[in-house]
Amino acid sequence: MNINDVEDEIYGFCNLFFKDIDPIVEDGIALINDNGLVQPKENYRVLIEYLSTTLNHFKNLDYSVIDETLKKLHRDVLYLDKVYTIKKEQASNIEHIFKHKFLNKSPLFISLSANILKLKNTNNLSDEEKLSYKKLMREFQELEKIYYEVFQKIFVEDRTYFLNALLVILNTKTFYLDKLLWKQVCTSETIMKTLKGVSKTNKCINSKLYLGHRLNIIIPYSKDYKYLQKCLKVYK
Amino acid sequence: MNQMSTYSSEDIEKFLEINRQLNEEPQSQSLRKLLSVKEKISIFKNIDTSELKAIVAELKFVKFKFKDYIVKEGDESKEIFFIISGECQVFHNNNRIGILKPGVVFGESGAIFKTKRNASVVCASQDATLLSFCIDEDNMEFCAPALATLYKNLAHQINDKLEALNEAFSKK
Repeated sequence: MNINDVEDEIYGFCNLFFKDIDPIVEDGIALINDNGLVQPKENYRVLIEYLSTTLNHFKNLDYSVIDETLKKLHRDVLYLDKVYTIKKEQASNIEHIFKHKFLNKSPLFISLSANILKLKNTNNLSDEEKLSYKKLMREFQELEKIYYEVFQKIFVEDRTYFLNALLVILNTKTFYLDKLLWKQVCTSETIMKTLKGVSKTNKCINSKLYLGHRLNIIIPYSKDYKYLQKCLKVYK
Repeated sequence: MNQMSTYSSEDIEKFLEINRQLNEEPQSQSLRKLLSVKEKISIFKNIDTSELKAIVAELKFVKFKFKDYIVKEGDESKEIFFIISGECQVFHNNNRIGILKPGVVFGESGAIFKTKRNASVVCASQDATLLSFCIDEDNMEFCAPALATLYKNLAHQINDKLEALNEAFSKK
């Protein structure tokens, strides 16, 4: 058994496993790198719910502020968040993936399993066949152990890369969604009228000021209050 | 499955406008200054510029005048200081125990171990310019490798100081 062949087989499986998010990651990272977009260190993902609610609220007040760029960003953020959650869940149980997805597709293990099953289902095994069955079982278990070790290493590497990249893209897009939303909002007289009292100058409002204002007017320690507090921490 | 939007040059221009606005913010200006002196600061060795941005918070360039307290013994603060110009004196229990010159970093122990300041540092020249910053430990998922390098560099710094103390002690 050549370890390079084992690795190649596992890399092939991982490529298929992450095939659905590969173009998302590739396009997203290219968008960030090609245009020098900011990759915030703060976890903007926590703001998605707040930003969605706020965006919809302002859209109801003045539809014109939500331009095409905001629509695209909003759509992408919701989509990426969903993809990230799904993929993280799908890729969480390595042992299960190895036993139920990888082994079932590996030609070597399929062939070994078939031989074991054949012997197992044979009535009145001769002594030689019994020995052969035991040997096959032992081989299967040993190979499974070796494969699992390599599988774990490669799969974790790929999972970390893809999930981290998705998170970076999601975070970056949420960051621009936030900034662009407030840039647009500040141009709307209709909305700004409703935001009197949020800022002393009332010229430049942002999420930090808006969240601070909201926290002053909603019931302390309610579920919403705790969530908005968490959001405000992003702008510490 | 890729249902991501395609961004036009008009969209990109809006993102870049946000970038330009961010660059004009005071924190960004301090960061630019920090990046210009990065190579001189030993604790930032082997940390990429982009990573550095992620782990440094509350970055300020501060000017002190003669006899100004920069750090007071017993205070709780999490800032790390880098002396750009000027001199500082270190006092412990009102006894002068050392002089700090440009290029020196201090305050790192308090920042790492979250302990009270174990000495006071006072500006000893007509004026002194220091770079003050905190380590941002939040959101580890985005900057864990850079934080690891920073802590390694800080450990080296503390070790160097201990070795210098040992040498001074053995000479006595």
